[in-house]
Amino acid sequence: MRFSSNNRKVLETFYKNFYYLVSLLLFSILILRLFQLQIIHGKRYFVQSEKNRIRAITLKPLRGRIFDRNGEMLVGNQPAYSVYATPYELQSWQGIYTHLANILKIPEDELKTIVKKHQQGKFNPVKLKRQVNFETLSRINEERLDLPGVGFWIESKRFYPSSARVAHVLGYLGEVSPDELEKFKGEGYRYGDVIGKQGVERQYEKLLRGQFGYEFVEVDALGREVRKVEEQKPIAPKPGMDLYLTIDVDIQTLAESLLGSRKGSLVLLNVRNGEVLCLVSKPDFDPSVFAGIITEKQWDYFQNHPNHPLYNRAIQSTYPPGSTYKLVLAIAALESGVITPEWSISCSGRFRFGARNFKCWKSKGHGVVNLYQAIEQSCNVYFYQLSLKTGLSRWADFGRKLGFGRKTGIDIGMESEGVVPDEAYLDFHYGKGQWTEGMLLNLAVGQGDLLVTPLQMAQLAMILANYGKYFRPHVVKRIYEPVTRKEIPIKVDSSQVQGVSHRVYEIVRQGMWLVVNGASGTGRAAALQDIAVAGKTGTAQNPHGDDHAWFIGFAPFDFPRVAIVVMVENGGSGGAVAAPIARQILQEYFRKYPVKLPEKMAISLPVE
Amino acid sequence: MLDEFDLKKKFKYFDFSVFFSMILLIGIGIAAIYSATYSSGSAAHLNYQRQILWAGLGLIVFAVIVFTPMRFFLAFAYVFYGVAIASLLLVLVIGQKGSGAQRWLELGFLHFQPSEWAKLATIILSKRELWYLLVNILLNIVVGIVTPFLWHSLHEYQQKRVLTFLGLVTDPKGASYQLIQSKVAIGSGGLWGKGFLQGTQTQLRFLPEQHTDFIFSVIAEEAGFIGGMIVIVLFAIIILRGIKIAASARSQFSSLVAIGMVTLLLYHVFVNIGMVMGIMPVTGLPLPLVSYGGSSMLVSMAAVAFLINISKRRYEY
Repeated sequence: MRFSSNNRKVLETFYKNFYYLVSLLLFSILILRLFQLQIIHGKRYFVQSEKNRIRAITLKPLRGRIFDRNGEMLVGNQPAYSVYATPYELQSWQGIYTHLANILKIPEDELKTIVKKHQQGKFNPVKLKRQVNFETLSRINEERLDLPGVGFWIESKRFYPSSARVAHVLGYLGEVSPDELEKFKGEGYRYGDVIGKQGVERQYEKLLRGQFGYEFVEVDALGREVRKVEEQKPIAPKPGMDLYLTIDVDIQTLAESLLGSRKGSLVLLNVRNGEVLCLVSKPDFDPSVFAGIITEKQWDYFQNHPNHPLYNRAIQSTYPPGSTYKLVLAIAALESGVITPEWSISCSGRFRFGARNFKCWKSKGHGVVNLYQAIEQSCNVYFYQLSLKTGLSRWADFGRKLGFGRKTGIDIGMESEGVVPDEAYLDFHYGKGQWTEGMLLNLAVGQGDLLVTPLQMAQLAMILANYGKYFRPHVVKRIYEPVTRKEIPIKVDSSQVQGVSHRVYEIVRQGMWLVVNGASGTGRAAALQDIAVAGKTGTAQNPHGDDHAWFIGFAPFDFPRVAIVVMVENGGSGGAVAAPIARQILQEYFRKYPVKLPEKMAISLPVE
Repeated sequence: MLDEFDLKKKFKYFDFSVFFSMILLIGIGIAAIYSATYSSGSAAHLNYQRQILWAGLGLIVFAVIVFTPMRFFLAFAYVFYGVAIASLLLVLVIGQKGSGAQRWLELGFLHFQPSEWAKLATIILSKRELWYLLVNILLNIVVGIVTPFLWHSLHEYQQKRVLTFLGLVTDPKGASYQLIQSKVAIGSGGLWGKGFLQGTQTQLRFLPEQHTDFIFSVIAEEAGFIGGMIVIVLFAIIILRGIKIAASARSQFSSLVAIGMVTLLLYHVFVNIGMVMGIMPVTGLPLPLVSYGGSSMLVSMAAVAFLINISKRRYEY
């Protein structure tokens, strides 16, 4: 753009004056308005500021409740009382701290620290103690003339009416920590609020929590509430959503009692949609303890006890899977075509490799066994030799294809991935050339550096039951919106294992049927009277004491509905310890949800 | 080597009235932030220290811009614009959520809001390329026509999110509550104000966002009409001098950049102060140089720096 210099000058002068004019106009508007507010109406506003102080008070919503799959309440709400005080009053009245310390049974110094740490201005009340008992409450009420600015709030706390603990699925609530306050800044959490710390309470915090409401009150010069403001309509809090879990309380209760005082875990999955019917991790904890005030001693127990009761063993702990993992090697070998199921070896009870003797669990040996028999009787020597034919990379490859080494994505959080060692892993951990094929033999029988979570093993059973199709395991079935009374079902994603053929599943499943139903099967203790169960036992050696007992399986064999994993830490043999527990759980499941006749007959119907 | 003559010349046309107005406004802002967060009890009462830090950082940016020739900005306008756009995209990907909308980048201990910088870069580029200005206007018109159609195809929660992002819905308690409290705060200040740390509206925390968007209410309550006038007059000095600088700039580019910066500052000042006094709608715009916030501080100092740069070079050829 070019102008003649004369034109330009005129234009610029015009612009300059235009800008001056606009700016002066805008500044005049601001000054006039300021004059109007402060000088003309100043008196009126001053009176208003002295008298009419409207404050917005947060109204807390009721937290959503949690039910089992059949509508039995697992977690509800109960009223609880918290005591608060206004810092301004605490400063202005002599001896009030001593008086309060006496009533609340909190040392005076500690009270002062609480107030100092959490006050938001002089006039905002600070919560001093949560969940006080009725004796305290009535004393505060009686002596309220000597306790200006002290009062109590009605809040809600969790209560657990169910016979089952479901501890690790539900998780627990705790006071929001400074870190969480920082992390969820802007979401309205304040000191003294509770927040989900584990399990469903944590994972579904946003849904369960609901939305704050507001109420407008008039307060006096000291910030004390005078009256509710009628002109400004309160905004009602929106209650949190109720959750319906996939858990069945009856099966869960039985599972909890079956594991009893043992350490271990148990998961029952619906193989047709990935629903978790029961999930137990032992030792567990009583979630209602967390609804109260946790003492230092209790907290110390939960945090530091060697048994780690807060730990969800079904998804957080990783173990060597033992012989249950032989199924993965069988699939890898069959799919790579290195053997047919008829390929046989002779087991003499040991296998000499290099300078070492690798033992079979049966020292007499199994004699001549093919793949079916090797799975049925869990012959180590067969799988030692099979691993040498298959090789480490194929073995690791199929392990990953079958869901190991990554999270299942269950909606409880804090899940472990486990470890599927491959060449790169062993090179990294032992140095290139520092490890021998002997390591492969160990891995073949589910020992060594291989680590899995019990849930991953249940997932494997689901994959085998469905010929490769599997669903993301989940514990929330549907969400209930209490205001609109709408139900939101949870969408479940399904996947298909790539690169494993129907024929291979067929063979391995046949072996698993023999484990429970064959004459020399290791898992015969899992057999039910009228429903065919298929499975695999495992007895995993570990450096921390006795063997871990494993059992994985599914049932009914022809039209599977559920998959199960039972894992007992240091329990001994899988066949003797884990399989009978699995049997009782399956029995209870089929008692409660019997297989109907048409289902038995409907041979050509696809699985869902 | 810089001899005395050179130094004198360098500062001969340095616009001290604009510079000191800026410094005074920053000082007033820090005092007001101190007061606004004095009774908050939480970590927010350390905000004034951060603001001092930001002002220090701002002075460095200020000095760099003042002593860089304008032709450099002319040459690198595209680069600035590119960086600004890139950082805006970066925010979408990894940004921090501040009150619902992703606008922040975390830089160590300080938050950073690239949209502020984008304003500057856009001004510089649009002054360099007039076609860009035209395209921009056209684009605005097109978006203006298409938006209502898109709007109605959104879900309610999405609409709410967009409103929140645009800063049109900032507070669940409702804008009327904010406004009433803000007007009471300002009005009750009277001629002389209630005194430093004595404002009941401020100290009882009736004001929302009182150290950021509503900082002017704090000043007007505690320092009264006199204090409010001082702030307005200081801004007026910067803006009126800025127009003069733009008019007497030695190149068209400089002139247009200067008028762009003046417009940016004037717009923010009028919309923000107008908002707290209830004559403009409630938006999330901060008061330049005064409101708490690093990005706003750096950008407004940079804007003033451009004005001083251009004034200083008026007679350099």
